[in-house]
Amino acid sequence: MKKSLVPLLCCCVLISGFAAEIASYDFTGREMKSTGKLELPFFTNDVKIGGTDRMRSLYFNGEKSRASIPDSGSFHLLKGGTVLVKLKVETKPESGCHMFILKTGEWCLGKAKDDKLYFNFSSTDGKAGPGIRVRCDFSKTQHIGISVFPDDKYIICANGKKLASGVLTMPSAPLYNEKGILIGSGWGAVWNFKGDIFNLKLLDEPLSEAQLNAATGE
Amino acid sequence: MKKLICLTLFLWGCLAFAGKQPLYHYDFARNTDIVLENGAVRGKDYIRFNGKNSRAVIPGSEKFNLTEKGITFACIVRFDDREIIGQDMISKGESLLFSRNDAGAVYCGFRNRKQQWLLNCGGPKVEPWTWVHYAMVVSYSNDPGRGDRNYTVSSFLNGEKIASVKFNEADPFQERNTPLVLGYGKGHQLWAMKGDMAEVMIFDQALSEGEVEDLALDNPRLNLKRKDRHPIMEALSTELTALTENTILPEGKWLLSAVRRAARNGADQQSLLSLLRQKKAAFALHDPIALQKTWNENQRICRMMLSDEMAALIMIDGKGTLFPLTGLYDRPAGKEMLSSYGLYWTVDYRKGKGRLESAMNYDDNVSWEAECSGNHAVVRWKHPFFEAEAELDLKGKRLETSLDVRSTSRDHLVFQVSYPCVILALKETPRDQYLHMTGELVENPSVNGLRNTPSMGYYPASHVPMQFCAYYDKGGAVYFAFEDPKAISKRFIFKGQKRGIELAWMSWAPYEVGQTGLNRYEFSGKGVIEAFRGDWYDAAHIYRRFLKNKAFWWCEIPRKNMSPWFAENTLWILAMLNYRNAAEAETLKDHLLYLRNYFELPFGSHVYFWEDLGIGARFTHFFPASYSLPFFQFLNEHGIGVKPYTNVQLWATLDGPYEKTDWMYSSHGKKYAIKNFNGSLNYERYQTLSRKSTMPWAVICPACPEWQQKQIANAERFVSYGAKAIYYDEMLAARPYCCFDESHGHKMNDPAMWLQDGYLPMMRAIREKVPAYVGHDTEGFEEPMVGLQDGFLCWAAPSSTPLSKTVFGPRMELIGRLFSYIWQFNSQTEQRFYSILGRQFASAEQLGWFQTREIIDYPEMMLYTKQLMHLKNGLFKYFREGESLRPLEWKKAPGKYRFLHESRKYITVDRVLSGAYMRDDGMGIVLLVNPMLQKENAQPVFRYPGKAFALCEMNTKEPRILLNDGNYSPELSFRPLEVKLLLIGKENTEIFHAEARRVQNLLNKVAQFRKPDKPVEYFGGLGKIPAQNVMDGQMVTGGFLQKITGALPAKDNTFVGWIRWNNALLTYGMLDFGEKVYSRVEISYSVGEGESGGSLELRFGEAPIPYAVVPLKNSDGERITATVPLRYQVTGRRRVSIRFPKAKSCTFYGWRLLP
Repeated sequence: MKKSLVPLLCCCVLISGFAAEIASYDFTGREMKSTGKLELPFFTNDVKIGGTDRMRSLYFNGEKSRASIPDSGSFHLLKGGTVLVKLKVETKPESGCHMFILKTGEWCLGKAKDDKLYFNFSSTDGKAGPGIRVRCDFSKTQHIGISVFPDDKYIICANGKKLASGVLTMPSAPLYNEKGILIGSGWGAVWNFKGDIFNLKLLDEPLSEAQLNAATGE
Repeated sequence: MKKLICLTLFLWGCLAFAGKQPLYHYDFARNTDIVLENGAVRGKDYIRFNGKNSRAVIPGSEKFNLTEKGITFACIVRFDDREIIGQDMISKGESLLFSRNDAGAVYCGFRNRKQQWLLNCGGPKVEPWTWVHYAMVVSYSNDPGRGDRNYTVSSFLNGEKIASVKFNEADPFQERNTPLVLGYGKGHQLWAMKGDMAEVMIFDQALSEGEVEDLALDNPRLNLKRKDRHPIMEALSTELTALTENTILPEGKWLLSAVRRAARNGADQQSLLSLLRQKKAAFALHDPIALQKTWNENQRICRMMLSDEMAALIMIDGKGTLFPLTGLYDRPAGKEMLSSYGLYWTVDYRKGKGRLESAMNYDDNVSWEAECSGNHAVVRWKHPFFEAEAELDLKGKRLETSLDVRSTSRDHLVFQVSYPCVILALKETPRDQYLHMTGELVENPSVNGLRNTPSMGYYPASHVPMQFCAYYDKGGAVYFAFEDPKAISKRFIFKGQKRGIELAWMSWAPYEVGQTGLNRYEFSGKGVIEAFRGDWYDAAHIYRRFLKNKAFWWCEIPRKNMSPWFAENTLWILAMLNYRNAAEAETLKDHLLYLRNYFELPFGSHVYFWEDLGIGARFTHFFPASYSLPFFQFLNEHGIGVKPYTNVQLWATLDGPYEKTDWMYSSHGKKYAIKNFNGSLNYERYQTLSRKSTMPWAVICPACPEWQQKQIANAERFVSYGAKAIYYDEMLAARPYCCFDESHGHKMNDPAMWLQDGYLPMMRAIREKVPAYVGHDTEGFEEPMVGLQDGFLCWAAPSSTPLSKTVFGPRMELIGRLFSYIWQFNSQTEQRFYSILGRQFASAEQLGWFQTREIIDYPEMMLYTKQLMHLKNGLFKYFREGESLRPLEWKKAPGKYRFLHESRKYITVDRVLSGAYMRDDGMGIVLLVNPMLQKENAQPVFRYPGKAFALCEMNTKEPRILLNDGNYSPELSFRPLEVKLLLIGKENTEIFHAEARRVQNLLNKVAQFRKPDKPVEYFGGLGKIPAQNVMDGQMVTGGFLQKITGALPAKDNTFVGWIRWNNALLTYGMLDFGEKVYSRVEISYSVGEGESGGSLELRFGEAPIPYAVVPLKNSDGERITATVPLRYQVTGRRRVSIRFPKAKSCTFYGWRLLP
């Protein structure tokens, strides 16, 4: 049933072109701004203000610091949506893994220890596959965007360039739950994020490649 | 210009005395701005609706909504005769409804935020094409102590209340874009009004019952039949007028006016006319006794009763529908005491499980006969289902009366009886005053009504704690009481009306289990109307006469069964242990021991939240948490009396661990609960532990034997835990109920059950079981517990007179006032504290009931508390044995101070407080307290008995001894927070002089007390908390912060930013500033465009208190440094935090203290 609706839904998405901002955070200014539907995140365990006084950031120390987005349990990326995040990763001596954004039991976006951008998700059987690993230069500030379409197609871009696209491989339907979204932490201490996040957006619709390139470009 | 001001003041004055004004008032006999739509048309003096979709819109009423002030709708309508009789009269979209339904009953109410309509339905169908007055009142009430927050919807037909429903925990839905509409509403076309509307009044506040009645009775369109408006025959009227002109005696003139009232109230006028013609000669007499004799002889129509102080006229002919007592005369004042139809009764009865039916003595199916002998009269009434007999005795200044009612039907039970009910003649408004039994004194009561007390309340409970009230002006006074020596449960109603002050008592008629009729209501005690001269103080002493002679709760002084430490205690401190928070107990130990050491006197600690919720729910199961028993032991070891909280009235419906399960409620609590006539239960609602919703607690029957046993066992357990006193929450403070549970062993519907079968035996048993050193106290003040309870926790807004203390003197202790949570610092914090504490001292109450955090950071408040504690301790015998004397008179009265009490009511008190107490041995004391932080002047007049006075002033070597000439009136000048004492001696002897010197030394000693040297941060466990050292001149930056809420620090701790709206808190923990004393602070911050607003508060101490406040103004994002003075000097170890009230996002760099 899901597959039969794909062409129609796909057309609708492409034609509409106007995605609603579920969350839209800007951490670069004197004020922390939230212009989406969801309120600003809650911070725990020593999240600090990073960056410079001219361009601030949300700084995670790679230990236990994390943030959680209130009321975000109903955001399901794999039903069709986009995540846009601008960040700068710092080196951690003990591990090269960084979790940027995690919706526990559904999907995650992070950096694998081999310096690749890492995106993965769960299926209804509770298992996750190998996920998608894409080479990305984390020595620089990266503005990353990922869109997933209802027909399981995906596009990943960074700094205005496409990094990868294709169809997500899953043995069954995606798994959805009502757990909230975490920023900067998850999967244990090894995956704690160390670095700055400048912007974060969650859109309830996928963007086309051109739109994604534009959204992540400088 | 002056004229304009005068006119404005005059109009304002008129409005002030004219009562509540409607927000919208449309009399359709005049032109109005109302918008007629869809076929609504204007008639001669009304608007007509067509029953289809016509309507009228009130322009500008879109923002009218139901608020906590309440609302009132009133309209005069007449309906067309049609098959569907439902009619929408007034509506507002989806929020307010005022209609009648298809049964003809009024159907009205409001919608709550959960989208539910909360409606009241009741009342009879009215005849078509008859003008009627409909009204709806929605009033708000919040009694947090009773778990009772509600909106009550009441409906009225022609001024009489027909239905009233209370909706708990209801928050009204509000609309801001929908206007008020007449003639059309939620019933749409089905209930579209068909008929005429002549007048509409809409108030943005709730009117009292008396005010609604006035609206209806005063309306000329309705010409309502009133019981006091029988037309008088011309011949009778002429005769009365002629006789009045020629009558010499005031008693004669009054007698004629009483005859006129009898005629207006429904007496047989032909008989009265004949009588007047027969007795013409009597009115030429010069002697009242001769007048009485002549009037009474040879006639069987009425009798004049006469005493030295009063006169009364009693009809005895059994004709007409009036109450036979038609006049009551205060002879010294020369005033009639009754108004309208004067005295009356109402009897409610029911058949089986049927609805209550109501009968009044005026009803056509009630006949009566009376006999009178001297000043004693007996009146008997007959109703198809019952008989009633009243006795009326005129004794000196008072009329005593009683009413017994017997059911004469095998299948009808007499259920409740209202008597005595009286309408007192209005005195000289607006300078008349009404004294409520709570001590509340109301000026111009027919307009103002009761302010701090509901107009309807139950006895014995905190809103009706005694059985008397008084109404007076300078010309005369009336005392009205139900002098009941058994103190059975009753209801009291006050109604201020234009026709008089209406006061009514009601109680219940008991019956045995299974009884269906032939029961009896036996009047307990006497109803009393007494004329007197004076004010509330004199009324209190009339009531004391009754108490001394009849009341079981009156006791000797000093009371022998009062716990000695409790009687001598000077101060109470609240200890709020936090559930599941053992650390709080440790902090409180530090606070209490610190205060104990500083005060140098023992005191009591009232401990709340000490029970283990892991075992059972709040207010139900009281088993100690792990930290509670060590806490109790610690306090006892250090001379702090422990008084744990318990509740003797409630059982949680989810009474298991953490209030999540039904543990024993269904198996036990429900069985012990009060059952209403229909089997339903009564609940109080309080917030759940999560504070996200509320939960009901069932009200338990105090006469249930198992419940009594549980309470007795509880008390014994508490003593074994180390309790030196026990606080029984709600015992009598909450309203009494009648219980219909047949398994409890009491009678049904028995008003004596609550006290005689319930709380009295419960408290007597507890006192027998626990040691004599244990003190007992309960909530509020309720007289029947005097003698069994040692103290009364009168935390509510203080009344305007010290009535209970004046009546009962040292037979009980009043303990505890709300200090308005003064740790929520504002400009009134300190002054309010001194006023409340000073008033407690002057009123001979025990001091305090504040939390440690309300005082611990204020050295000056601690000093004042210590001074008053030591004075109270040194003057102990005056407080323990002294009766209250009449309040001081003033040649030059002190000014007034007004503050906002926690109950959201404004309290006005004198700027110089006073109290006078006299012991049996003739020694007395007058306390004069200036609680203000400024100098005050006043000139009292000391008119007290005794031959000698001694005036003791602080820092004076010797007392000033004076002979009492009966008019001593010194001009007194008070320093801030000064106390002066005037000693009264029966004789000017050496013993008196020695006592005066002792008191003078005491006063001088307390004047030398000093503030505590070091703050509590140096003390106990707090003193051991590691502190971060702050060097002189060192900037305190983000690196010092222990915890940040609602903001984030910079990665390098150079600043804190992203301050969240009104929510940010920076906690530094304990900082040590060394020995240097600092009095200024330098604060560094920046505010960008769009970030300005709000302020920064630097706070020190346990409370914590803002020592410096900096408004956050735009600095274009540039870092600026502001230097401001500190409210108090800072040195050594202090806990420090910073709040940002109403601030937005600014950047905060740090601060440092400057000398």
